[in-house]
Amino acid sequence: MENALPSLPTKAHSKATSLPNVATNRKVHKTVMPSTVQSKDSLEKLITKELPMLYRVAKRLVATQDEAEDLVGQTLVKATRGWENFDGSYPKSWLVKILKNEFLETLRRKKARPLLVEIDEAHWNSLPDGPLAVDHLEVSEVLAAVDKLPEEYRLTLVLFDVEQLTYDEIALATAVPVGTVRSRLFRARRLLRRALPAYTA
Amino acid sequence: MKLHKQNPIPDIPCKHMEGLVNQLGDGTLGPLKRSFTELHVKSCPQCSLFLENLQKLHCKLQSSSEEGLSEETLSRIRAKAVLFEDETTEECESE
Ligand SMILES: [Zn+2]
Repeated sequence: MENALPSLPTKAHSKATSLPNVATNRKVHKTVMPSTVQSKDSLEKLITKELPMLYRVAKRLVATQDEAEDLVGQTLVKATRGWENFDGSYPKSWLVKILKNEFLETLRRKKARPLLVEIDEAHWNSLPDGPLAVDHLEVSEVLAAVDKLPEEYRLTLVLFDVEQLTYDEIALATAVPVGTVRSRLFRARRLLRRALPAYTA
Repeated sequence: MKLHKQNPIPDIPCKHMEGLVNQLGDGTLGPLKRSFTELHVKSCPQCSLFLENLQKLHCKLQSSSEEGLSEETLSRIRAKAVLFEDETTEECESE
């Protein structure tokens, strides 16, 4: 095993050249961390560990439980096929990336659920004067508001705020630079606050 | 419509601070930016409330990840994966 953990996987994948620049981000891992195992675990072990995460993310992307199960099922098939070429770094990002691609593929195939772009960002300027009554919100209400976000904001928010992925991991999973993750998160939260019940009354 | 009239402080952050306060909440700021942002938040009720709400929302969202997967769902997903695998394999073989 190498002394230093490479900040990003740089081989094998065709999209590696457009990978995000993580050098400026605080969360570049200097030491080996559990989420970025270098010695490749077994696929079965990884799947067993991350299946709940995949399912939760899938549920935010598609409309029904059945579709979410299908999506994760397809993801497992693709993960099994791609396992040999996977270098073992950032396993969560690798799985989420497959899930996201499968989701987009499903959309293309059957136009499953149109991307919801219900919230107008301009509304930010017309928010009520009072503070958001976060304390009284049920988790389910917050999740329902999350579901109204445009897809790329929704995914980024869920990966960070729910699944605790780092900016770097999300950048890899969604194939965008870290700066984009940062701005998507920031916009997602604006939109989320606008979509919450306290604001939509 | 104006809600929560009893509390006049809006939780809308200063425009130039919104990104920094977001990152402060995320714990992704370097030391210089962090101390600058913390200093601002301490002296600005709106940004302070904004940060507080961000953190509360974060906690609510994070708590939704505690929801596990039932054995039933788990086995259904596995079964679907096997099924999908078979389907695509058959397609390949029939060519
Ligand atoms: Zn302020």
